[in-house]
Amino acid sequence: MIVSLSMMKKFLGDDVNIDDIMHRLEHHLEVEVEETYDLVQNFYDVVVGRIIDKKDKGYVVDIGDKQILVSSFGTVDLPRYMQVAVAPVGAVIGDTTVEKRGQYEGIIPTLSMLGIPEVAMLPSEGGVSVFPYDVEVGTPLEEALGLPDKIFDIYIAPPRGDLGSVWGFVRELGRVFGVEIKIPEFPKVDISEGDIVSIESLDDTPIYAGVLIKGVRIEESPWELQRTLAYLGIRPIYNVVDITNYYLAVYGQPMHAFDWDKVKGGKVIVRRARDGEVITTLDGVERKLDEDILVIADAEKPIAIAGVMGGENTEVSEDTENIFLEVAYFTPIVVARSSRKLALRTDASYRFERGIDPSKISAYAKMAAEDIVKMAGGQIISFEKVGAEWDSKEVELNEKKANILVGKELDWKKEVVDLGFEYKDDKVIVPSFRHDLNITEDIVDEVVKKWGYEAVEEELPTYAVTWEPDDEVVRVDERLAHELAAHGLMEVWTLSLMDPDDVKKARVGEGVPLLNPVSKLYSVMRPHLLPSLLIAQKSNEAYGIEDVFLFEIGKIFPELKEQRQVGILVSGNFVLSDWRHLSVPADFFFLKGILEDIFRRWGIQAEYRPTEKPYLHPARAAAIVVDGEEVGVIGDLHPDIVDAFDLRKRPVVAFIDFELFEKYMNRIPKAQVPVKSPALWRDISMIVPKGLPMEEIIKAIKDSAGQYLESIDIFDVFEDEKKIGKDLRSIAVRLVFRKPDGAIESEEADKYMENIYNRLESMNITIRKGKERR
Amino acid sequence: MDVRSIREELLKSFENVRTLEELEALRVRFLGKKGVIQQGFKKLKELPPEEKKAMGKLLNDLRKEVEERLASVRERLLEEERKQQVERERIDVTMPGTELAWGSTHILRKAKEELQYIARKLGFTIVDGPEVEDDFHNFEALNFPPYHPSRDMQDTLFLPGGLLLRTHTSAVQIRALQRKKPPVRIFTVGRVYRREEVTARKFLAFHQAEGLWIDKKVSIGHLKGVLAEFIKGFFGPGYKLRFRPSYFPFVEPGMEVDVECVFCGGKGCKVCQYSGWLEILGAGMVHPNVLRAVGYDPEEYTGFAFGMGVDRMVMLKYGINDIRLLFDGNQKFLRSV
Ligand SMILES: [Zn+2]
Repeated sequence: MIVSLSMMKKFLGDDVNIDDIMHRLEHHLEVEVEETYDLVQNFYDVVVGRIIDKKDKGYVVDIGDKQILVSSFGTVDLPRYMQVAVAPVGAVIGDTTVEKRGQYEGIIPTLSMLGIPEVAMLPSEGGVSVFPYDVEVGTPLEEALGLPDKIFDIYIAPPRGDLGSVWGFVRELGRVFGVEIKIPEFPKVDISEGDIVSIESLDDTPIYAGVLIKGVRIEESPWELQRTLAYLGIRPIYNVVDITNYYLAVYGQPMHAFDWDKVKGGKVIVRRARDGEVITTLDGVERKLDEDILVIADAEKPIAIAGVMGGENTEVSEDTENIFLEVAYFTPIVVARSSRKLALRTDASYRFERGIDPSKISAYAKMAAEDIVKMAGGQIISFEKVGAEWDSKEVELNEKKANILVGKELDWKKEVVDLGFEYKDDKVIVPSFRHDLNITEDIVDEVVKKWGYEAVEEELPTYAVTWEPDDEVVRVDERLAHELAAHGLMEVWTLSLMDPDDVKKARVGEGVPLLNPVSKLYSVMRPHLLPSLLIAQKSNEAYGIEDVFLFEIGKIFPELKEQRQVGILVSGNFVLSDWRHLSVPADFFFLKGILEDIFRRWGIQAEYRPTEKPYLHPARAAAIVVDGEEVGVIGDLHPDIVDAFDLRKRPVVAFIDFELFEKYMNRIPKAQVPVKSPALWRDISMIVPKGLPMEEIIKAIKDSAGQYLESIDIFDVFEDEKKIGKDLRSIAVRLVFRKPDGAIESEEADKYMENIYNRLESMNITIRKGKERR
Repeated sequence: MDVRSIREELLKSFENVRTLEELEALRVRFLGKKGVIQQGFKKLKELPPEEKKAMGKLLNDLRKEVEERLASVRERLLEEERKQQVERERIDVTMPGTELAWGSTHILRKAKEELQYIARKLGFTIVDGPEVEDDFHNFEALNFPPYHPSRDMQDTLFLPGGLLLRTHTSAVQIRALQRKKPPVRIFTVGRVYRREEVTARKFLAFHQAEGLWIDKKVSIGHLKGVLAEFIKGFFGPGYKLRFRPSYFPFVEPGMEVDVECVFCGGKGCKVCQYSGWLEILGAGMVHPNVLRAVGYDPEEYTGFAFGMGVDRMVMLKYGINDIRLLFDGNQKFLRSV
């Protein structure tokens, strides 16, 4: 809400220390002063002048005692007879004294040169302030602008609709801070005459006042009203609208004026819209209506959306002579629903949905109608009111509950009276404009706010010491993150919203689109972590970092099924820098090694099967299989995607379902206790057909090695067509045998080796001659 | 045999020994089977009995002396050799160490774990909830009625099927309360989303931490007390708290909580924009409508909730000026925090 100090002072004494109040404001009310604008005089001898003529590129202006030729800083051509601010030679603006420049004896400054902030909606043309003719030529500008003044931009929490006007705000300052206020004179209106209004939807419209005024002249408002509105952040338009806007800003009462001659059948009907009805609102948009929306209609059609916006079909224009002024109380819910269904927010709907004062509808109607007659002429023909106003409401106070909340027993009657409310039989009588006060807790809030929270003593609760487990997913996530980090991977927390193009480029399906994205860059929910990690790699490469080791345990949303995924991306060299030329390239087997160790720690037995995925290198990718189910993949990124993302290094990636780790979280791996008895080892060197997977060779060895085989270590693999032959590879492994209860004899090991050799040879494997050979 | 001259020769020889090999040669020469001293002993029996005894003693003394000498020279030589070895192995310790791609958990996880640690010590249980929510859990049960203007406080990103991205971790409260029974003390940290234009200060996603305590007779004083303990855990003891009235639909009374600026001790600095206070928490007493929505009797139970922006705390603490850095994977940044 925008309020000006000058307007507030109409309700406050002149000697009020407003800065002090603004300072204490947010400690006692749910409001915040977001911005304060000082309107101060930073110029001298600037006056209001009238453009008489145009000459060369300048203007001849009348400044009262003489006519001078001036140049303009405005951005548009100003018409003759317009009244503007003029700074003749010798005037001062800011630190600058205006001097004669060529033939020009002054300037027409812009509002920003004069230090007027944009929040002040003064009428202007091309940045130049313009004045109506009721401001006399020669008037000092500071007088015309009413300087000094101050404008406050104040945030008001949604339930405090009662604070959303100058009067409402000041009224509360009076109650909370004990500031003396001048209560305006609200006229009593009891009469109701005429038969224009008919309310079909009484539940939505508890009070409705309508005033028919005939013979008005639509024209510019007097300067004082224009300036008042401008400092309340409202751009002046013409008299009738300015007056309704004045009541909106100053008293929080929205009003609407219809061009009476365009209202068909001489009837104003308040009713729900019919499904399929259509109205073009004042903003020129055609809107489809339904039964949830409350409208004002004439005998034929809707002419306004109640509490939100008027219709073009009854818009007041320069030619309007007769108006029908609507001042009503529509319920917050009906206006909020209309406004949201139509996605149309206005100053009026803002007020209605937060709740306006139900006690002064006809008073405001009368005040505004009289102001219109005073300013625009004409005559009040009829004044009609449907429904009755109410001044107060009752809020039940559960003292027992209230005592619990404040932590002590209070004399609630005294507290309530201190608030300025009445207290009768466990009921608090509050003004009807306090839509935020409905239950015990609201009254407690009101009391504590008045004290200030520092008045409530800190207290530590006691509770029974019981144990309750954290959600398991939290513990799995924590443990996994720490293990991955301990394996040399850097954790990232990337955004789960993406550009759909990146999802497509990464070949991981399509993300579910948001219904109302801010921009295409963040318009779909990622179905997979791959694109996020590729973007992270790219961002590192752009920064000159080519050795990238990242992981994320992140949410993914394939077809909106929210789940966690573990993603790892490695590229480049694990040794970032070493002057001795150490090197650990981050290839498939590097990443596989990390996975194997993590799985070992969780007691997970994984198998790796060659696989094809659209995003993985067809010949360098494996599915990770646990308990017969595919739980993830590992592989080099597909070369096409390397190109699509324009990456400098081809990464190796792995993705594992988070669920796997949840399943294994509570399985405790068996500890491997070191055995003290001596080990015995045997090396095997063999020539193997190239297509035979290592896994099968190892399985064959294990199956035939007897019970004391402790480990198999592959220590050499090489291929050489000339030395070994085509489609063959040489593999050397070392087997370690150990008995738990004593030394294993060489002869015994030889026996096992014999079995192994026989088994391997049956698989088309040649055992090479060597010292271990029989 | 002239033992004295042998002794002199021997002592002289020891002075010139340079290596362990030379020393061994000396040992053989004097103490070996065919060495001088053994030879002397062999010749003993040729001597007359009166000389035998004296000569025997001389030879024994000599052998003892030689053995001692041998040991001390060996020690000296070993020491020298170790010295040389050490010198050969000297390195330039000012050369840099090997830089590996050391891993680390994310800065936001570190903050999350720290907050959870404090919460656990205060008796809260850590809970988790989904990011894709429905209107009931994110709004309606939290006392945001349909069409109510309070819904405008949080611009929401909507998904197909009546779903949305949760705008606050308070949605987790509802899910946790639905599956638990009072008394309830829960704490959650998670990602939330708002429909925001992206800037250095605002992002479409950020992280919230939120605590909730529901029990019989929980008061505003308890809220103040527990929050003070929480802040003590996070920033250390001695920082004042300030409570200001505020509005969140799911609490009444509702308040904003400021902590005395931990960077300037309340004197005013750039971080606190010279106010002396950091605005970091929202809090309040759980609204009876929320309790009702999850089937708790507001006549029997009261409670408090508090929440804070995790990203903001991290940014304050580490001097990070752009929230987007937290979501980027830049390793240089990630390794620095
Ligand atoms: Zn500070």
